[in-house]
Amino acid sequence: MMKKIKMIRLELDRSIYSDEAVQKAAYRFIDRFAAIVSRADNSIVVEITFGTESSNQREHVVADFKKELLDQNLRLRIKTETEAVRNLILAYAFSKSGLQE
Amino acid sequence: MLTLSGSALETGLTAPALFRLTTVPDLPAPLRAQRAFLMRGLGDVPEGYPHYLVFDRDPIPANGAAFTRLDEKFAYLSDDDIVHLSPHGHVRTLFRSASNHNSILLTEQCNNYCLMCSQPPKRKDDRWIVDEVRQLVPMMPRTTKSLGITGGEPTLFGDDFLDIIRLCKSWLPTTALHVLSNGRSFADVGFARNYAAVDHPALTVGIPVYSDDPSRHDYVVQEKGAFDETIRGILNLKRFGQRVEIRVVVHKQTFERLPELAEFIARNLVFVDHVALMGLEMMGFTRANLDALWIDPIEYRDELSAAVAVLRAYRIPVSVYNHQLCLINPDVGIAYVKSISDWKNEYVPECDGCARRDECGGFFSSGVKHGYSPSIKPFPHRHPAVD
Amino acid sequence: MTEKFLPVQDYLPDSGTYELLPFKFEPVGADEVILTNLTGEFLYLKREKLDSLVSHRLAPSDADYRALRARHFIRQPNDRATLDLLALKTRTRLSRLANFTNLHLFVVTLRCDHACHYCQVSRQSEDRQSFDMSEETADRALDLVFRSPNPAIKIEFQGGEPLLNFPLVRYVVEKAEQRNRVERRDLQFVVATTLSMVTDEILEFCRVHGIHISTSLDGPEDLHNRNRPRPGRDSHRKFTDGLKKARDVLGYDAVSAVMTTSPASLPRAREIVDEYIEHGFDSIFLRPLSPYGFAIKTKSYQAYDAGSWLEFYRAGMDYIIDLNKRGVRFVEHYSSVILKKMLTNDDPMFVDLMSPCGAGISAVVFNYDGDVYASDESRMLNEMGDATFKLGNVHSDSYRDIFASDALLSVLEDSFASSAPMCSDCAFEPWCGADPVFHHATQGDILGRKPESEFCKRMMGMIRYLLDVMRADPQAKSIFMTWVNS
Ligand code: SF4
Ligand code: SF4
Repeated sequence: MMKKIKMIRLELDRSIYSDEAVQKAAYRFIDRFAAIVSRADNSIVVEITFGTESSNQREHVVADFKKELLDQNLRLRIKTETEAVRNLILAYAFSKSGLQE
Repeated sequence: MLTLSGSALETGLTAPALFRLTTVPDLPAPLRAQRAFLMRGLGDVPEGYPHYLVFDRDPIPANGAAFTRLDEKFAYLSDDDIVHLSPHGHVRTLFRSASNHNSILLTEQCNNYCLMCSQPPKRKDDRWIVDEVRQLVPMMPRTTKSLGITGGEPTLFGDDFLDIIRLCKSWLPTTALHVLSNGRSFADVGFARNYAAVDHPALTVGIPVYSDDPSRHDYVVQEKGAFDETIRGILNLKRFGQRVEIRVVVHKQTFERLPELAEFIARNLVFVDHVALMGLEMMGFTRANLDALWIDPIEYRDELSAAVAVLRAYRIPVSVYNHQLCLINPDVGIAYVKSISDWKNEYVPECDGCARRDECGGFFSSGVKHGYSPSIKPFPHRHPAVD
Repeated sequence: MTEKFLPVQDYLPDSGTYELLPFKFEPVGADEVILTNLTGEFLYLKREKLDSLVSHRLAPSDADYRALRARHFIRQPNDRATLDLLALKTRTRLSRLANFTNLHLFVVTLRCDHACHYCQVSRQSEDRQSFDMSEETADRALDLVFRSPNPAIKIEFQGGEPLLNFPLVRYVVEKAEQRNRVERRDLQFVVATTLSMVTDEILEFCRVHGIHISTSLDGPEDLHNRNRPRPGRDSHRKFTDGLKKARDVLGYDAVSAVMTTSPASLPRAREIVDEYIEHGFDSIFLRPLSPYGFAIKTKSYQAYDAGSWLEFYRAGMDYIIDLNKRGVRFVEHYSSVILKKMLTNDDPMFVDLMSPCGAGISAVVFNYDGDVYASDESRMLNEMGDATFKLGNVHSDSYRDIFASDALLSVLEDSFASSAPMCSDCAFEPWCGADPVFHHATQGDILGRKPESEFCKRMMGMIRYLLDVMRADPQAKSIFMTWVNS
């Protein structure tokens, strides 16, 4: 039997998802599918190509991927908000005035 | 319980004074001038002592010297003890040579207001105590093993507090000095540095930390932001290589997160020298806040076990003080210290026939008087084997 | 409660006033996440709580709020101690790096009496000229050893079978001790040997010079002999005899053993642990096979995949935890390395699990011919014709050439796990490592493509196992706490 190319197309609202979040989510899934990320006007388009998975498996993976997109969004929010304090902590850690042990 | 402060039956003193006591009649003259002679019953009255102490109905010194008459409550007084006497007949025992738990109360003022404070803070200016202590320290036997400095919050006197530490280092260099402080003053790096600069050879500061949760600690000490200052104080002290003991009083407001507190210490303050986990003493504010504070220790025995296990795993020396042996799990035994009183361990009727009474610290007399756990259960004696 | 005391609510912060501190998260099950902070502390949170946390809606009266603040995932603007503590812990973690190289491996010969399947470097040969390290090479290597700024120096003799070139071991030990009279470092020696050729004379030398022995034990006799063929098929018996002799002379604690997991080992985790116990060891290192040597050459380095190794690891660990509960103290070292990062601020500096990688920082290898490598694995890779991690040669390169070489610096730079894709936002990163040699060898990319990496699968598997055990079983967590502090 001929293998059909299994393609799924997701269109994500750019006011919600950042490019970075989408890239990172897609990277985490490189062992499960190939993805091409592109931009349209107000959206980010993810074209997902599967291998030999059954449609059931594909659905699962896509559902997981959608969760991952949300998580990556959240991760970026945390990262952005904590960037400054992180640098402050590292600066303290490397400064001479820390606790000498 | 010892009466450390009370009234004399009569006194011939005209000005308040500190006296170191002696029962040795033939001290060299220069030493006699610095001591009060403690008379016991009849006998010759040696000459040359500036003051004499007599008990009850004992005869007065025949030489007509000034004396103070005490009742039997003060019968425990002995050689090298130090007392303060006032012309109004007020007697305060400031040092007992037989005790390993002597401490100097430097002030009754405090910047915390702990729910279970055994020495409720007062606002009035008591800096005069510092002057008294300046006199007191050089009178103490140089062989004194250990000495505490407490309050209130002794560091509130700043440089005067450091002066006292310096004085102890000078006069009592081999005496282990134990300061009880809430640690907040040491959040000031300069103060911590000056404290370290005294370079006392055997100095430890005991600092209470009641929770890993800042708001819980702040509540227990009734002071917003206290936790943050206390922790920074501990960090500064360790940064300057000072010995620090963490003291945790376990009660209804602190027992729940005790294991988490142990983990917090293991993770953040692993370099402290000792952790003391202590039972509640029925003194001072505790009695006013009894409902909020009292919990039968048997109910937190698992939390206590968990905390001890964590601290021991991280090789932090830990001791459990002021607990009754029958209220702890066996695995806490290894950290258990028979503490409480340096005078006489007190027990309750339930203890009769307990096989482990000798190892058990028993009770504070305040506990015997004001309530203790209903779960006290004597350890049975093993029946002697029959051959 | 008397009037003058304020209730606990009065000491709670105002809602919505907290700040987030740096942390990462991974999903655990369907409706929970695990959070880790900069210094590897962790806690679990319900998903909906994570959302309110990040949106600054978590109420100060919430129990999770208290835990998050106490463990430094959030802070109130006035919590100054929090930043001090986080900085201090980060500093403690990194402080080991500052000491630079501590472990110096000397490959004194490639010759060996064994012909182990998974070893590609050793040779069955009598040719001393071609495969033994010379005194001249050793001298130059020692020059470099003592250039290390680390106050502690550990020299480990490897092979092949180092006992086949024991005169050089003697030479290096004596030379190093001589230099150390001036240098005054904390100097230690280890010989990694199968013990098959050990003699009284060798042991006596080890005793006099305080040399430790690291030997190999793969499991029960049949498994061990199968993994470690030698003429006479008596590797296990030789080991047993040698172990007894070595302990008699050097003392019990001066001899340790390492294990290699072959495919034949996989179903036999318990038996292997029992074998260690039978020989009186109180620890084991459940070590997966490295993708080097023979395996790489034949392009069959996946002798088994991470999944089957994890099954082996879990079976072994379940058994080991059970033993500990029954009062038999027994430690698994691979877990210990990870647990140390989870439960303390100490980084055990295990070369495979460091970030940046330990190559050239915690270990440096001097090959028999004077080549210098960043790790033992790099040397094996070079045997396979891949010189990526070769740092230089003691005869032609200076200290600077070697330790500031592009080979080392680029590996170091690329191997901060916190900068690798996927690792950079992985919540397990504070407990994980980089292993650039592995990723180069298996994926041709130092950073590695983690979603497809066996290393990553193994780490995730171990980490999730350890987390699950600690969560479900407080007694096991207590046992782990004693492991990481010993
Ligand atoms: S019965 Fe009394 S003496 Fe015995 S352990 Fe309990 S408190 Fe101590
Ligand atoms: S290797 Fe895998 S488990 Fe380790 S930090 Fe990277 S992504 Fe996380």
